[in-house]
Amino acid sequence: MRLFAKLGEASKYLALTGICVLAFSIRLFSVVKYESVIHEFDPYFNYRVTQFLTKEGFYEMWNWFDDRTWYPLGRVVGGTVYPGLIFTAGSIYRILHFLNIPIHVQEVCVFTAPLFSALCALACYGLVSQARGSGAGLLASLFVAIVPSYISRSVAGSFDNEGVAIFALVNVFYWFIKTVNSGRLSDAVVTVAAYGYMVLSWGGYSFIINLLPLYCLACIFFGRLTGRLYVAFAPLVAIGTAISCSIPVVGFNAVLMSEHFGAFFAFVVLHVALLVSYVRRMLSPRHFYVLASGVVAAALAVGGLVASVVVAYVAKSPTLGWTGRSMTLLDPTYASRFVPIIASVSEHQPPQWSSYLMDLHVLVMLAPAGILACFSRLTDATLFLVLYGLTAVYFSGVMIRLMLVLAPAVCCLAAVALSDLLYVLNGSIRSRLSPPRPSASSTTSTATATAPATAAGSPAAADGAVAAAVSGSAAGGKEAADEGSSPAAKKKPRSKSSSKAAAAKPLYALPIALCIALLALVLAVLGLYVVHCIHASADMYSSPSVVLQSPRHDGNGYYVFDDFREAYAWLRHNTHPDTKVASWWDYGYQTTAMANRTVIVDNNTWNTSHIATVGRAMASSEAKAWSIYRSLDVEYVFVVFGGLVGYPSDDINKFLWMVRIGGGVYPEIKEKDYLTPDGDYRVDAHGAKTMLNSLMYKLSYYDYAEESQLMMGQRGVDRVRGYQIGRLNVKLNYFEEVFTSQHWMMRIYRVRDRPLRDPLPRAKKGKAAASRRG
Amino acid sequence: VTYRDEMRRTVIALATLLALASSVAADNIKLQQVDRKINLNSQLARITESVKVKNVGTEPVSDVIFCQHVGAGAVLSFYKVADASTKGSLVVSPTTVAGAPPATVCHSAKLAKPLPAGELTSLTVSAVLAQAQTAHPAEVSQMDTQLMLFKDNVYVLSPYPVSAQTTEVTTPTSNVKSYTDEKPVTKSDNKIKYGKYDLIKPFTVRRLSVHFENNKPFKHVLTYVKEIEVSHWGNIYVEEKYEIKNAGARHAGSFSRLKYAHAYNGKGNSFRDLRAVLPPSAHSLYYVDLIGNISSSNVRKTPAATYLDFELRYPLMGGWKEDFTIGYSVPLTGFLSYTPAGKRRLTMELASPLEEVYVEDMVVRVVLPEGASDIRAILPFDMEQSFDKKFTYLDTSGRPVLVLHKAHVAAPEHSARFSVEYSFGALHTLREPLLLIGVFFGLFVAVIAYNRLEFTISRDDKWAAARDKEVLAAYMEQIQAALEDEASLLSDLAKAASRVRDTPDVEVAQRERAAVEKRLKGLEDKVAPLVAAVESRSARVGAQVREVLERSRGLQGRHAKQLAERCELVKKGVAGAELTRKLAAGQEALAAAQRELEAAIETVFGAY
Repeated sequence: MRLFAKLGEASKYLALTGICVLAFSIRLFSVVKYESVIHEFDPYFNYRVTQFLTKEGFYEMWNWFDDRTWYPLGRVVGGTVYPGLIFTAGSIYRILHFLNIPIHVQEVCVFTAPLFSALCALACYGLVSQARGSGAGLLASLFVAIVPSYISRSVAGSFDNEGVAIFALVNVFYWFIKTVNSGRLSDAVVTVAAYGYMVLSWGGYSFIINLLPLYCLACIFFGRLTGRLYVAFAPLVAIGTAISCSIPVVGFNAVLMSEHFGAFFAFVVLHVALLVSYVRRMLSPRHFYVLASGVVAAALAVGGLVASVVVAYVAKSPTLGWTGRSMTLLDPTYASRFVPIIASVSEHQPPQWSSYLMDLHVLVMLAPAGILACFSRLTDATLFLVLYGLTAVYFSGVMIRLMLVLAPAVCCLAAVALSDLLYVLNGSIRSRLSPPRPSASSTTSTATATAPATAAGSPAAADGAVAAAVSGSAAGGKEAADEGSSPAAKKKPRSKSSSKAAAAKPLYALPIALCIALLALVLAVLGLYVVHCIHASADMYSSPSVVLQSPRHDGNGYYVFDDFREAYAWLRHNTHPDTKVASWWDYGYQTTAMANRTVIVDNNTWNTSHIATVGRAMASSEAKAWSIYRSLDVEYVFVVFGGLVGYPSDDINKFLWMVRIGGGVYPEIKEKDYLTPDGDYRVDAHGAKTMLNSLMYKLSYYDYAEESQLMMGQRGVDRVRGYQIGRLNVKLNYFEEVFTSQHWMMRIYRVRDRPLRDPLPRAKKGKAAASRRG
Repeated sequence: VTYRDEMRRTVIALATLLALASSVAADNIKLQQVDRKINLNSQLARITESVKVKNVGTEPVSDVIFCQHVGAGAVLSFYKVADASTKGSLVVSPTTVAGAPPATVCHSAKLAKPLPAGELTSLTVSAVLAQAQTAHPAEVSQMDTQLMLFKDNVYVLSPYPVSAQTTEVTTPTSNVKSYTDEKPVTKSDNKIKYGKYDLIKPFTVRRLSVHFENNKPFKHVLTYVKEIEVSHWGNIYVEEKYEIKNAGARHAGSFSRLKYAHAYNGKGNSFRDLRAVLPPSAHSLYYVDLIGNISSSNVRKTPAATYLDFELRYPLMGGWKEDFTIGYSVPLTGFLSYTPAGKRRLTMELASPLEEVYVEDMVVRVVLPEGASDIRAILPFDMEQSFDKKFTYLDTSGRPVLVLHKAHVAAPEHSARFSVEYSFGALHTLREPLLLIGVFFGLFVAVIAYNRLEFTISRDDKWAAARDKEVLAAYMEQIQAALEDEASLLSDLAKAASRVRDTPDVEVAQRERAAVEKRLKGLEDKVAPLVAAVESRSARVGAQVREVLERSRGLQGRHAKQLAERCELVKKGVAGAELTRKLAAGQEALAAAQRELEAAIETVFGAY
């Protein structure tokens, strides 16, 4: 019996290790199928900062003024970046090099996200085992280890803040709930430290600083106010805010922005509630009533005054003290109306229904059941899970990027549901199979034998669950769970409920055939989930997007489109180191990291008017664009063009956003000028004249008609748009082609020192000169 | 007389001596016939002279001096003088000759055996000049052909009089824009023949200049760093870093991908393909640059070599640059051997495995395993040598690195193997595994020690309570183990009872019962002091334990009773279903008692 218990414990750790290995290795498809390289756009910036950090040191990084970007403004990197990820990777690099393990910084960056996914699985295990039991914890960690939504942001090479931030998020929750359960001050200290790491890592910390107060208020409202909650929450708000203030990128936002008001409000309410409960204990009910009515009246008066001051302060700010991204969360239509830059990013769009199924698969179905299961035996911890789940669902519905926050919540809820179901099924089978001797030893052994994944769950908890779920009377289970929540008092009361459960069991056990059928169903669903996750990781989320592949027609091997790096390498080696390169902001980070050249705008979209200037240049005619670029000191301009190979996310397809963003600052750019009279966006013969005259069109389609004729036999047919382009004969007088990559995906032009020859008729000349001067 | 004056005088004396020596030599030697071939069919200028040297003096001559025009910017990458009959190369050392025209480099070759007076010998001089062809015009557009200008001397530059000489210049194509017209000269297809010229005085200068089309790729490697890392665990890891440039006419104006891909001469003077010839056993190849893989390579294996055909990221037009890294591993076999003296000898290819490149600056770093000592390089030609240290995986004292450096390396003239000899104790290979074992052992020892140490600052009440609890838990565990044993004994007894079907069985069961009771007694004796100890620490727990033991005893009693009853009935001759039915009530009570006991055990002992 003791041996079995020990084996159960051991197999729990074995399973956890296995889950960690799984979480790490399922993210390596990108390395196996492609190569060990940094992915996408933002990770290139993080990679570049990490390189700087490893070369120059931590202190230098805070003071780093980056003059390679936002020319001529530059960017203070130390004060505008969430440095958690960079510090993490930098520390790993330093430690490895201290141990004489000379791994290149790129490898460290590539493997940071998978490593932290494994840690996140552990944190999820902790969170759910605090809420329900280690069996459910194991399920949750399995779910979160392979959930596609999380994989999409943490494959090897995806060196983005989210890679460590999701771990940091769950980690804060785990320690917070642990503190709520234990009431230990040491846990509270760890909670605060975990929160500090979270603030260091990701702007998403504001989710925590709003969710935890919400939870706190809910606890007060539901009469769950305890000293343990106070120990968990009060230091987090006080010290946590102090910590976030000391991180430059947050600074005084931590007390000034409206996102944080909820925390202070809950902090005050918590103290008031504690005071009230204290006073209530001291006074007789009658005295208390008198005092309460007096205080409430006075408080209303003072509170009204304070509230009006706060409201007045907040109302001063045009966004009511909220940052643009937070406003988008509260009002999903806000960005598309006011901030086209936020709206133009595809990951800021609301998700489609299909993406929930794609990213979460069966968990979508299990999560609501999990909420019910949480309510059926409501504890402090399960209440938290419910709140986390509900808020995350809302946020994910606003922005597809926040699916990532939802994923761990859904995993935890689904694990609670599934583990309850498994306990019921296994308990039923057990009671049917061994009715004469329902002793503890036999239950443990059957548990170990029938469901290895849940073996670690102690028999008492299992029986408790059976009693609760099968009989429908929450009393026994609730008692067990209530007392189970404080670890000190865990063991003894359980056995009581276990004996109770033993008595109740035979009455309510399910028929054995049904149990086995349901078990088979559960296993099948889990199998499907695993298959789906592997498919998602291998085929959908592993592409690094800097290099593209398409299978050959004859079926063996791939065509590799490595055009981006080809062009970046060209820029790096064959232009002057101080050259300024202009492109749409999407490619800014990659240009600085891969080509090491100064860019005008990049993915840190902090200056709208600067971006609008670039958008305006792209949307203007050649001559005007030339003068804009000259005024910005730009020597090279590049565009991404997918027409030859059918790469749809090219600049022509992004062009309307450039027009919108440019038009937001420069009223002379009007979106309707670039659309057909029917409001369509086309670049064929029906396309608007302004469109066909714009620099973007010319740079994309220069020489293209002949190329497509020679390559495809059709003159000027664009494979992305699927029709013949509007102007076949594109002449450039102010720009000259200096490089085009092999598949024409990247085309680099030089801004001529002076136009080739004066292309304008005499009458317009004066005007053009005037505009150039302007 | 100061030391300095003395020095100066010595130097002057030496210089005079040298001048004298050379003039003496000049007087003694005549070049009877020189046939020079200048091959411009690549980015380099390869010059071969077959020379008939005659000693016209009275003394035997042991040194012969050869000179070569090296224009501004050009470098003499390779120079060799060989005996035409034996093919053995002679020892060559740079020297200066009085009266030589500017931009002339002279070498003195030491003959294998001194040339007696009046005798004749044939020598072959091979020289490779790099950067001797200059683009003219220096900049071309994409569609233009590349024209190069090569300058030398029409006559062979020599400190000796030359009786008869010819020069043949080979150009890549027949398109030669202009060439120096020094009669007699004939041009046929891609060859220009000068001479034969008779009786040319020493150092007669007449500029030779050829302006011709050369569309060969000018693959110019600016820096080449090769690192060879030897592991005695069975692998040699080679990584080569290149910075390559197209040293042809610079590309000017726009680059049109359309023309590059489709036009007849749209590729201009660019190149993109490279080929590396690696050892046949090379494996784990990679080809990357600073920003990741370059996805355009092909590996072909033959028994003689591994051919790595690869393309650069982008075609290099004139003046464009690029860098890349290739790496591979080879097994030790064939590369590492023992010398007769018991030292290890590593033998590898020295120069770059790329075909048709000119390397401006070559660094070869040989990283030997930790503990290697007494390192000596055996080189095919002179190189700068220095030592360095490198720390990689699991290194403690660092690996010794032999750094070899040479400028201006031309392929294939400089392709040769080199060796490094070093002493290495076999035990050093075990350094890294031992280190790992040591670290893990230390870790485990530390954990074990930590678990056994006590970190309380003061032994206060809390500490005492905790300690009491621990001791209590230990006792409780022992008691529980005893109870488990007891349970198994009782189940044996129950089994024995169930086997009683016939009168003879009764005897057996009785014996069994006696044995079990004896052992139960033993167990009870064992438990008694434990219970007392528990009681002394916690009266409450003690009482609970006593209660459990009471129940246990009750269960024993029931078992005994059940057995006795069964024996009675069997003796009476009751059997089968009848027996079971009669005993059912007792059995049920027994089961109930057992459940109660187990619940009680769980309650009392569950917490420990």
